[in-house]
Amino acid sequence: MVENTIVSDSCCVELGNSLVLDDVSFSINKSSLIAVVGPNGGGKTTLFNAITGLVPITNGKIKINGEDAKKGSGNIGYVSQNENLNWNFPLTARQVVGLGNTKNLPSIPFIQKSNDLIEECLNDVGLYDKIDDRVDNMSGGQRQRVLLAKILAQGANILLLDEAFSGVDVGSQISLIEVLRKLKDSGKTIMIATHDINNVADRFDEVLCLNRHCCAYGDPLKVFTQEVLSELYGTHSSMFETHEIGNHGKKDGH
Amino acid sequence: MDIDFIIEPFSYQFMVRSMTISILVGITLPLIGSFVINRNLGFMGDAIAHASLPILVIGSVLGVSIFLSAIPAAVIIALLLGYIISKSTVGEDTAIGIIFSTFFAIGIILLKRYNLATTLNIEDILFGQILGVSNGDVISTLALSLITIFTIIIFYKQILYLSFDPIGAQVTGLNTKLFDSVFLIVLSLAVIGALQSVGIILVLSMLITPAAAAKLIMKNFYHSIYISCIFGVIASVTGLYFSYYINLPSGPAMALSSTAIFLICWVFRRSVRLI
Repeated sequence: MVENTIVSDSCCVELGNSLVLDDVSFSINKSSLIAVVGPNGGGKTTLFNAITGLVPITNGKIKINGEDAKKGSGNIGYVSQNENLNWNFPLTARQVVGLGNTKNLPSIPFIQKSNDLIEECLNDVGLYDKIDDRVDNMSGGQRQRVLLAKILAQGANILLLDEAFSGVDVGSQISLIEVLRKLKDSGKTIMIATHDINNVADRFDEVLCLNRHCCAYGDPLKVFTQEVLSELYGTHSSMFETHEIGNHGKKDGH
Repeated sequence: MDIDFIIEPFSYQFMVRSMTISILVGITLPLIGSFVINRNLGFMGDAIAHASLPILVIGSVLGVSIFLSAIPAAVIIALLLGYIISKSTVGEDTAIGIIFSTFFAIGIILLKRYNLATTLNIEDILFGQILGVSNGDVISTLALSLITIFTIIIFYKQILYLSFDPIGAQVTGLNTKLFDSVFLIVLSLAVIGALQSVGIILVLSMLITPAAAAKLIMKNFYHSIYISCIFGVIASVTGLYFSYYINLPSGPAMALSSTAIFLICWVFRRSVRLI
């Protein structure tokens, strides 16, 4: 039997007087790599915030491994958008990844802790050789991988990455996807908010189309119909008129 | 240099007390200042110092030690500032500016109203007068410094995590509101502990300048904390000697020593890039 990790049942979220998520329902299986696409203001970040318990759910519910979102939050690792992090701090990759397993309890000073976990997590994302390099000096793709290593050190099994490809060149995007695929194969469930719908079919198992409500969810080769694109992007859907089932903007049909 | 030049001031008890406070302030302010400069909270530190004035005056009227009256004041001000910033719709700097100027104005009015010129010298409060500290002041500063240093050491990771990645830290289950309040309270304690040496106006110089100088020449945040504390001690002790030998006010002397260290680091920042 396939195990459901994240189940959203008629989830609604209000921010101020605005209904940002309206009746969003989906069910995500364990060990999958999911793209979350939609326009700016479509509710991608709000959905992640609802899954992690950062914003209250007005109506409906989200269950993580059968439990309420807030109870399962320790199992969730969240890499938020780049501008939400304070890059003024001159921290090395070792120091950033070391933050991953921070708990509420005080640390006992002057006791050297093992670096094994930090080294293992950086090795998993292919950045072991950069362990003592400053993260603020790294490329966008490398930063994302360090932050990924941080949430692996946290012990998270559900990984949420908001706009992970934003400002990242194509080569680095491919490296990041390769790392994510390996993590997925090792049992992690991964959701990534992205605007790059052209590469969704090549890179992801499933796609969640979100424009305040869930427009479609499933195999990217099947869900990107003209109706769904129109619902997602409205009048701008003409930008994607070459997209059709089995042909996502590529003339050769792949 | 004649060794007597260094040792001679310590034949006086007041200089031993002043030196003790200088070293404590030189360690404590840059330690917390390393976080302050990277979180862009310099204005907040300045605001805490200014906002403590009315409480210092009220404490003096009631005959309570400056430090004992300022500690609860600092805690209240820190939590109040933290709360207002989180709820503010007018912008962080604007909210801090309104609060600190209001508190400072109240403090000046109270000072004039109660005519406290004999117990509270406005110039000493504003610019510091380390040579006049008592044994009680030394004990109070020691207590405030130890609380600050110990808190930063044991909650180093939590404070660093919420400073670097507040959303990520919250998602892991870290009580970010609690640790942010803890940080603001120890910032207030450190600032209050330094008021008698550097004064309200110039406390900012010891809070941010040594930390900024260390950041210029160090590659790594963790190591820059140590170096900023060393710079802080050098600046405060140098300022104390200037204060003793040339009869300069201690606060400005320490502030200018910090600036001199910063300028040296800035000049050599490319050739001296340490661990």
